[in-house]
Amino acid sequence: MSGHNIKINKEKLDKVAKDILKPVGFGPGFLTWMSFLTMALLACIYAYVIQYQKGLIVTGMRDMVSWGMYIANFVFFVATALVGMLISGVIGLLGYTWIKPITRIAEIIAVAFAAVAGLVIVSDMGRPERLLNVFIHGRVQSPILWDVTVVTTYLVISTLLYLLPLIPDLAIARGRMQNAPKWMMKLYEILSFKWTHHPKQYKLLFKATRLLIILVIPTAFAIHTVTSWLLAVNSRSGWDSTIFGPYFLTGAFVTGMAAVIIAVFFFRNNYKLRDYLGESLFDKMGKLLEFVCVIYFYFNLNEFVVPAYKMKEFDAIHIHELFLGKHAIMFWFSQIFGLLIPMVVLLWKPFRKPLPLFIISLFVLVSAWLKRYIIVIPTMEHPFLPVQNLPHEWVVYQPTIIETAVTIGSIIMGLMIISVLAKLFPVIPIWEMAEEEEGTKTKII
Amino acid sequence: MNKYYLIVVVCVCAVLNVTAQNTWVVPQDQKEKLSMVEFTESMQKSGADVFAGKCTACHGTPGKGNFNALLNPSPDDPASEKFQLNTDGELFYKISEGRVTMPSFKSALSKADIWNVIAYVRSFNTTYVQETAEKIESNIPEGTVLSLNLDYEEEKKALKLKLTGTLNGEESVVGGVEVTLAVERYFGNLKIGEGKTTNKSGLAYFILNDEIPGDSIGNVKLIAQVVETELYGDIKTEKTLQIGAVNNKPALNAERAMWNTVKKAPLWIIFGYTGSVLAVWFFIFYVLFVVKKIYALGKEDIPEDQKVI
Ligand code: HEC
Repeated sequence: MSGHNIKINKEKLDKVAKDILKPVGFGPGFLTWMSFLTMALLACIYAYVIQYQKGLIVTGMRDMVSWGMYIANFVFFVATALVGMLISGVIGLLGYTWIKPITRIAEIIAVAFAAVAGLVIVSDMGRPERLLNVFIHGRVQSPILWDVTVVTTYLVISTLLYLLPLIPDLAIARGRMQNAPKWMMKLYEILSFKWTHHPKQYKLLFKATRLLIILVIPTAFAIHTVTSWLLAVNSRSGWDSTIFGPYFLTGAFVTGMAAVIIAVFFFRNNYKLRDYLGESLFDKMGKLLEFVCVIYFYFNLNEFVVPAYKMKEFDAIHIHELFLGKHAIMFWFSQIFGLLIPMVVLLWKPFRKPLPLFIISLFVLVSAWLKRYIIVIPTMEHPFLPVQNLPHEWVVYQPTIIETAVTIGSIIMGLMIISVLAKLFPVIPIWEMAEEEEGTKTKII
Repeated sequence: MNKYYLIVVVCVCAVLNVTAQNTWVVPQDQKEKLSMVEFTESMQKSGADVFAGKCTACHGTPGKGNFNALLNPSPDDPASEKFQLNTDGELFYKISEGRVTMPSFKSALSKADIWNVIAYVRSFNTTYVQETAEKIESNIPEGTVLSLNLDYEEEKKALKLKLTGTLNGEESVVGGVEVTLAVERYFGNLKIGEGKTTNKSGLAYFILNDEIPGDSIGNVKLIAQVVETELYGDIKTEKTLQIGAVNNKPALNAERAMWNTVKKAPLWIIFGYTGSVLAVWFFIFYVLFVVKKIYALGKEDIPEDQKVI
């Protein structure tokens, strides 16, 4: 690994750089898209302002169900963010080179979703101005503090994993983007850290990246395991599970893969990068999605069949609500369209072609969101202690319009971050694509 | 014909059996039991208190008919005719012994309390005429005020109960009366041995096992009582004595524990948390340091043969 010297092919580089740098920059199409997002976001921010002034009473959360859509949404964001670790960390460390063109896209998603996950948690606070107290008066014994810590750490590592491999590309781009605005070139200059393609610089870069991709694995495991513990350290039915950590983690891989596939499909078509994001890449991503779906299915089997077989008093109520009760439609929709059908159809190659895979991923992603809702809310509706004489609307949970708007706002914000990053910097690592020898990625590991 | 006869007999037996299960049979001697004293208004009042605390949940408020109808057999309204048809002795027996869902109150209520409840229940019956039993105890003169005294006798290592009676300013000891001794615990009282009868000098001794856990300085709270409260009244005395084993168990929040404050969190969790955070952030800063080195290398010349591009 250390003895290896990277060699970049000049002709290849010229072509790759030309193709990949072409969509970079804020064109009119982008500005229209962003103004649309901004307008929608303003409406959502207005909803948040109302919540800020009046407090959480404007949400559907009450005495019994004190965790609602926000927490479900938070879990969804954290889950999706994990894909950065799956691609760069797990698959990268295993030495697969096909991930090269999608590593940066995966990291963009990781950064965007991890950043927004933090904001989503703040939106669940009645007094967000007291956020600092979480740190000042945090209890080391509480998974809430662990979660806050680890989300922050994961965001930092993901950002570094995004920025570091970008350094050579920015140096390459500086010489080739003559008509880019001045501020952009200035930013490129700063972020390329005086990169001269010095072989020693490459060695250091490999070293730092290697460290980060090793570091990101335990951190990502921690982030989602701790998120699952927020629920699993309770003895409530539906949360009281020893496999909640791996159950969440594998679920996160499914969600994250779907998000990456959607993004890759988008860039392939809109950025005209078909040569780099080809059909064989989609086939590989489809297989990976199939693989994580099977594991997730296995955990679902354990998570639902075992309690359903025993039907312990309180579990029985919970499971009945999910299987046949008022959450049944959502539950079966997410299980069937988000897991079972994808798992089955992805076995056939035609379904792993770009368009079918894209559609399947859309279903998976939507189902993944609904699944988090199913994990958080029904359990809250069935506490162990009998609750008497509460008004009906305190007992059942119904998200309000304000709550929904704030949640949509978080999704818009995630989209905005992704959009800006995807226009500000190249979405595919140019230097890695222009290597003389294909195997460098393997060798840095 | 014979066959039908048999069926009829079987049916009758079955019906009788069911009714037998439904009637609550009270032994004859208990049925005739009577209160020693005439019910007074103050007895009814304290009976009302006991009833409100212990009985309303199932029997509702007498006369309102709001008893818990879900129970089977039905608890009934105490003001109802069926309820009032019980003799005083039957009521006393049923309250003391209980049956199935009707709890037994003989350990929860003193006999005097049970009579008070009966006095209260009877106050809803306008046609009720009370009969009382004669006083059988004759060696205590009428009007004597009894009092119970509790002390620890060092040399005998025993607790001494002394029953005295005062009549017209003159004090005398009272013998032949059953007394009990108990230690107050978190949930209810712990009886020390069996009840004992006071001797001619009005004394009863209880050997106290010194292993009885006390508080941090060995204090225990003792409760001495006359057993036959219906005969002598609720004669009771309570005293705290330093005769138990010293119990120095720390308070629940004194030591490191998951539920304690951050400063008193378990060490493993403090080290586990800070250790992992520090380890990960050490490497993050190391990476930043590497980036700084990359920056510094930017000024260095690259030999021709080592050019990457
Ligand atoms: C847990 C519920 C419950 C509580 C508390 C309770 N009872 Fe009852 N009681 C019942 C039921 C049920 C019956 C009927 C039992 C049967 O017929 O077998 C009953 C029966 C009785 C009877 C017999 C009634 C009759 O007609 O034969 C008396 C007397 C009585 N209760 C007195 C009391 C008193 C006094 C208290 C409070 C000290 C009390 N109960 C507390 C449930 C309760």
